[in-house]
Amino acid sequence: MEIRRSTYFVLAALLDGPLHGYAIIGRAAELSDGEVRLSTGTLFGALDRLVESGLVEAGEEEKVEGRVRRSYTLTHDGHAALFAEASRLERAALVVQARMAKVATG
Amino acid sequence: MSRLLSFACRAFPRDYRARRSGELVDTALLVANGSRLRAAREALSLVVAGTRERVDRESRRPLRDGLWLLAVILAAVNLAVALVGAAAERAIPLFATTPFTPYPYRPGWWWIAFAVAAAGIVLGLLIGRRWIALGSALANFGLLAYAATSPFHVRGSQLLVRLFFATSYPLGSQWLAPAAVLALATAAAPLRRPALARLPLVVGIVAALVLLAHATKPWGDFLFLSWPLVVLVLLTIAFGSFLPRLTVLTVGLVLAAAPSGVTLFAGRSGDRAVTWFVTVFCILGAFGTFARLARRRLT
Repeated sequence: MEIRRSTYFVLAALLDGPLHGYAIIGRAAELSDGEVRLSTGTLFGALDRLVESGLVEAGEEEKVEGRVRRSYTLTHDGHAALFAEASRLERAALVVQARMAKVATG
Repeated sequence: MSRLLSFACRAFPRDYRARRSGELVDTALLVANGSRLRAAREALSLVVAGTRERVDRESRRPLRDGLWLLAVILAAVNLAVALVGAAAERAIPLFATTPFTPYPYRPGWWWIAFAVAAAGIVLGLLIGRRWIALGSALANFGLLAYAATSPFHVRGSQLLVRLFFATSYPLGSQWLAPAAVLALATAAAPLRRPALARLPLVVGIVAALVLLAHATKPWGDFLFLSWPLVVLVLLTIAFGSFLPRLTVLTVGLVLAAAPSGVTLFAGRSGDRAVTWFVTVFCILGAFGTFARLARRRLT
């Protein structure tokens, strides 16, 4: 199963532990060197799909400093899917890098 | 800013909003970080996500749900036709009013029965009582069948209505199609819970149809509904393969309206080609989309 780029970084953001919405946006931007800038609508659309497919687990809603928050955690299936996608991307990158190295050396 | 973002959350379905809007608004406020421009961008993203959520839910609805919508819309049009028809005799030319037309004006028994049956269908559907809705729909069909098969059942002023406004009122066999579609949709529509909150909306639609019918012709005419139907068919061709309620609604309305289209096609010489083209286009458009939707559901 191919994972969209934005979803890939949402999953990657959760590798270090449970995070709430705003923290996921920040972490995804950080991990992608600012390339993935998620809006609230995009993030929650992705989280809904991930929760529905069992890759992410949503925690209970809580109030922290007057703000409503909910933490999201990567599940075992989520880890597996992220690892599989990372391996797929790595293999795809290796194919191109090997080809480019061959061309460069003549 | 918070108000703008809360307003944007209205794009989401009500139950989703109730569960998540606090979290969505708070996250969007943090992302906006006091910037109006970023808040506007976040609001837009919420509207897009909310619309996507609605479309996603709509695409998963069963086909049967479309029958309720079809039944309510046909029942509203049917009631408007009955109300306009009951008052149509006022528009009979003065030279023809004697000796047939009673004075002061009173609608005949057939029109009163038709209006009562039409109102019964709307009421039955909205309060979720199938026996009222279906009983009224069958009575409605019976009355229209009587009018279609007994050309001289109508005495006096109603006969004049038939003679003068033949294409506008349900007195020909082509009107049996909407009555049959309405009865079938009423029988098969899921009536799970009362929908009385929609009563003002349905009454508003009926009132608007009555006013528009009178605005078209002094005695009222419903031919103007053909253009919204064409627009509906175009929308169905574009979006119907993932909006099952829209497709079922359009297929039902096309089935109901096709005999009237054919009658017009046969009766009018001026715009015969246009009527022919529009009728065939609507039939092919609605059924083609329904076939695509059914194939998607089955595979």
